[in-house]
Amino acid sequence: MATWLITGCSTGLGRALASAALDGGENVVVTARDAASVEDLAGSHPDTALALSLDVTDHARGREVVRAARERFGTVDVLVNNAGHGYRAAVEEAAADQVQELFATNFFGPAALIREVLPEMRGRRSGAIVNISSGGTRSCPIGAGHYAATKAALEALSACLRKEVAPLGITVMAVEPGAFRTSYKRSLAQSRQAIGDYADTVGARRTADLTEHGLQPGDPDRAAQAIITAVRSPDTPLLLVLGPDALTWFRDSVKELSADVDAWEQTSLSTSFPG
Amino acid sequence: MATWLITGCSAGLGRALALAVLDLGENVVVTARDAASVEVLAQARPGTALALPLDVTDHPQIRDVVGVARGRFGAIDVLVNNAGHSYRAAVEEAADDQVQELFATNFFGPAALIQAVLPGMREQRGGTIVNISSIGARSSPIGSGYYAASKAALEGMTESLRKEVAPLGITVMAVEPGAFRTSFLRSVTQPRETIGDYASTVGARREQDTTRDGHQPGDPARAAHAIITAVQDPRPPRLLILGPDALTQFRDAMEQLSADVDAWEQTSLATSFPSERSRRTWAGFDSDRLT
Repeated sequence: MATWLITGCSTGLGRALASAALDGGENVVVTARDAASVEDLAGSHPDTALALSLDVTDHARGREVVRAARERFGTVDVLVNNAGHGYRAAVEEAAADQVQELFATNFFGPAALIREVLPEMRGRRSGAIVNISSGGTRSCPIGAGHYAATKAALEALSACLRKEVAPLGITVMAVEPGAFRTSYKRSLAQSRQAIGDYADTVGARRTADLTEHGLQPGDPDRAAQAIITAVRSPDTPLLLVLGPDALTWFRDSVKELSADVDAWEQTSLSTSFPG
Repeated sequence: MATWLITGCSAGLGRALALAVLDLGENVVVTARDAASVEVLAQARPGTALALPLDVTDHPQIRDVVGVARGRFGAIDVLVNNAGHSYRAAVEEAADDQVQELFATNFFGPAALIQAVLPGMREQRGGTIVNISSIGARSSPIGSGYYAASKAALEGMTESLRKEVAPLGITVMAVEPGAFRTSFLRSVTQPRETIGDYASTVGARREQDTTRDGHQPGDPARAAHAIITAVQDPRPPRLLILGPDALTQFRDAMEQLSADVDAWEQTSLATSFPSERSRRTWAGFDSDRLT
């Protein structure tokens, strides 16, 4: 029986994962900015669930939560950095304070939590860190540049971390979900300005956002099962893509990037000192 | 004749690029934190070079520099976000403030520069933005977690930006250099404490940094010419890799990731609501609508 610490459990993927892990008999530290929103999960599994408030941008609070988790369950075996949100803005429209907040939630917060759980995982030579990214890092859509940036950062960090801690018995996985039926579209932050030149591109996406909530094809409960399967596998992958849509975006992005790189190969090879 | 604005020109790739572009007869706004380090370039080409101090973490200074540059040359045609440095730390060894500083230089600064030049580029319905990333963003080396993250962030933003401004006549390109003979390894910052458990991984890399410095195979002058060639092409690539080492690392990284994804394909495909599975629109599912 493992102990999971999951962020962002009030709705969506975090809630689905917490429920699935609890139903599977695991201990789960269920966190959300508002602990009241996850009290029901603790109520239905009083012996194995611990509901705590956690805003991942508050690193001191993160430290407290990890400590409380260990006091209750002895260890944190699996950290799932799931809390995060999107930001609908053309790159040019983005406001510095909103971008800082986005990075604080989607990248700096997760990194701080990783640093909190690692010492004890190293001590046991065991543990797993799961970082929820997004298929958006492959599709890099219009109007989501800073969001894609935060998730790309999280994935790059995950890849380096995996190499650093594999010799210490710890595994690291990034997850790229496609479009799942969560509150993602409703929790999108918006830029304060909208520049006319982007009306046809980013503006059109703002309009589309309003109609797409609730229609996404992905099932968060099935996503949760996939994540649990991957974490329990002896061969946990570095990257787990979720959804046929995300799978297509991943493969298309590899193809397109490789085509560009191949086309410019001679130039790439021309930059060394001779001999 | 185009006007370029290049950051981080005191040494290395930035300096090589500034020199190469000036040699072509183009205008260059040559910037560095220490303006004195680039004054000599301006003195050699008083008609076409403008040396200005610029710390990319200082956003008001960014706006001033863009204003002065436009005042002198009329328009900025090419922005090269080159200034940046690395941070040799295990993910666990990092301190919040050092990570913030790294991102301020490698990501938030470049983003602010992009915002500062875009209005002018939109006005003229033309321009090129070049973001210098690193092969590290793909190869994810030990001890480079936050650096790779800052560069991956830059590339993630670059690709969305590219799609947003293509209809406005503006081109965007990311560059991933491999190991070049610059002061890069000397400008790597270090964490305040190191952890014994990472001695054989991150610690070993610290030692390699010292022996590799000055022996990197890449020539900054040749890199500069490659970048210029790409910028001047009617269809610049979205990503330009520099160096045979980087090319190999790029292809290896793509292969390894693809192998991981292929191995778990069945799991990836099993996450839709049952009623969605009969829809055959996956391949054409408009990614722009869903994220």
